[in-house]
Amino acid sequence: MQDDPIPFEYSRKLTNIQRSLYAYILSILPNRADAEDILQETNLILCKKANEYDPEGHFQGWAFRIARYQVMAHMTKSRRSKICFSNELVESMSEEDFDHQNVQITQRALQLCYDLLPNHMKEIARLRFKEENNLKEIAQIAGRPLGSISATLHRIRKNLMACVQQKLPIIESEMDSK
Amino acid sequence: MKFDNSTDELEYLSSLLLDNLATQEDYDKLCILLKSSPQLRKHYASFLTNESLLHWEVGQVHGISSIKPNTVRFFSFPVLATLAASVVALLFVWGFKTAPLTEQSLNLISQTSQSDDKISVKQEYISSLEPTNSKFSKLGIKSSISLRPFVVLDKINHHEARETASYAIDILEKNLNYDQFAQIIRHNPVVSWNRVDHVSVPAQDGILPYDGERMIRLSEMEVDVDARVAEVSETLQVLDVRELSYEKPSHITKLDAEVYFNKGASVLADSTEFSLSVHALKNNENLEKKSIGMSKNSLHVDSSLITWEKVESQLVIPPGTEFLVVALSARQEGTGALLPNGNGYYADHLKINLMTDDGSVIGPL
Repeated sequence: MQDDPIPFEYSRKLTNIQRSLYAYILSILPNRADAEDILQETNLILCKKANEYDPEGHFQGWAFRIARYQVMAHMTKSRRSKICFSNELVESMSEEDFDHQNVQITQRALQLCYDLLPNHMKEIARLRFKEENNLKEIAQIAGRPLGSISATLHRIRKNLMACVQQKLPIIESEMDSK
Repeated sequence: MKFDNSTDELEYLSSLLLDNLATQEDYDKLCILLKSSPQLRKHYASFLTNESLLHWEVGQVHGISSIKPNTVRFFSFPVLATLAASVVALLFVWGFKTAPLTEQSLNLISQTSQSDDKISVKQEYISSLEPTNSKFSKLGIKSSISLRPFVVLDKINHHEARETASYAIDILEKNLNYDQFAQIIRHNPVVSWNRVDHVSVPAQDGILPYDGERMIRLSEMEVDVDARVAEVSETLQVLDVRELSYEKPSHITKLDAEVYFNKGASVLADSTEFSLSVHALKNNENLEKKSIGMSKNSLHVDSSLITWEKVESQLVIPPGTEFLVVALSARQEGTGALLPNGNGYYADHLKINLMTDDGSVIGPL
């Protein structure tokens, strides 16, 4: 047990990077349930290690490193997930792509783009991302074949991706000009 | 399936993977693509960032207005993840029971660390509403003046806002020209006690000021765990209008105020209600200040860091008004209220004018 409480600044940083941390974990362990478990474990370790953190160090880099070790340990010991990237591939993923600032800008772009989706896509997105239904459940709710739901979800992601890529420079320049 | 380019194939395979529909062959193809090019890895990172944000954001994107404050989903993953992080942090603090936390936003955590059950947490919170625990008391203001009892400003909701207003009125009644916590500016016949500059900060939390180089940052919220409510209210300006009331007793005077609000990004799909309020105060027969009129306008601010939302407030000043108190407040309800201070609450471009029915305008104050 440690002797000192978690510094406020540390808990604030930890709270701030939750989105980035989850995005990074999901990218190297692309299974939602597993990624959520790893995020919880990583948060726990980060709290335990609060007093080991050098305040002048790069908090996000430190947190990502711990997350990566957790993912690798998970890959080694667990065979639940049939999809496991190699260590080499995990190491090659750039942490900078998940920088807190980038994720914030993407978040803004995504909100704008989501509003532009047609209603039928919004409904499928809601069932998948908010209600957290699996594809089989969505197919039953929507009364459509599973393949059609899968194709719609792919189109939703593809449309959002294209739209976000288009909006990012605009949002960045808006923020710069402000 | 045939693809126009490897980016399309990458997106298709990633989508299958995320929906648990990928075969071993799909997975192998994806690995080959990712190993083949840094650009594809970058694209994959963006694709997965979108996916992760969709899990966080969709509840919010679907419209705060359609979700009643009391029907927050307590079991959605983002909420759980954040709460888990908070609970872990709380548990650690509980375990230590040693050094007191100095940050105001962690007051509650500090208080809970001294207690063993929910009831004592509640009692500690109530006691934290006493004036001795306020920011101004910490700054030593209380020792230099005698504060009036709260009842005199009973319509101003928040204890700190009341205390600040009471302090400002004391300064104005003493006709002082200098105060270390605010600027005293004369706009004859009105005198303004204005602490906007004293609570202003440069760009932070990814938020740029609406206007100029600095913006108002509201203090950290106080949390009522049981009620799941977090709130802060700040008195920013007190106007001494005694002379105006004396000079133009028969004229109708109107106060126009406007301000823009924004908030830092939050990890929860929360909604913050911001308010601009104006209170008119007058001495009663016991020489206590009583609120004789008020105007309050509120709005819910979106989670965008870029957009500033405008709130306006008008008040026809009741005859005999001596002081006008302008306060800003922010309030959160639901799960987000349990961890409200991760990012800041901001206001900018507070503009106040007084207009009399003879056409004269005093301001901007």
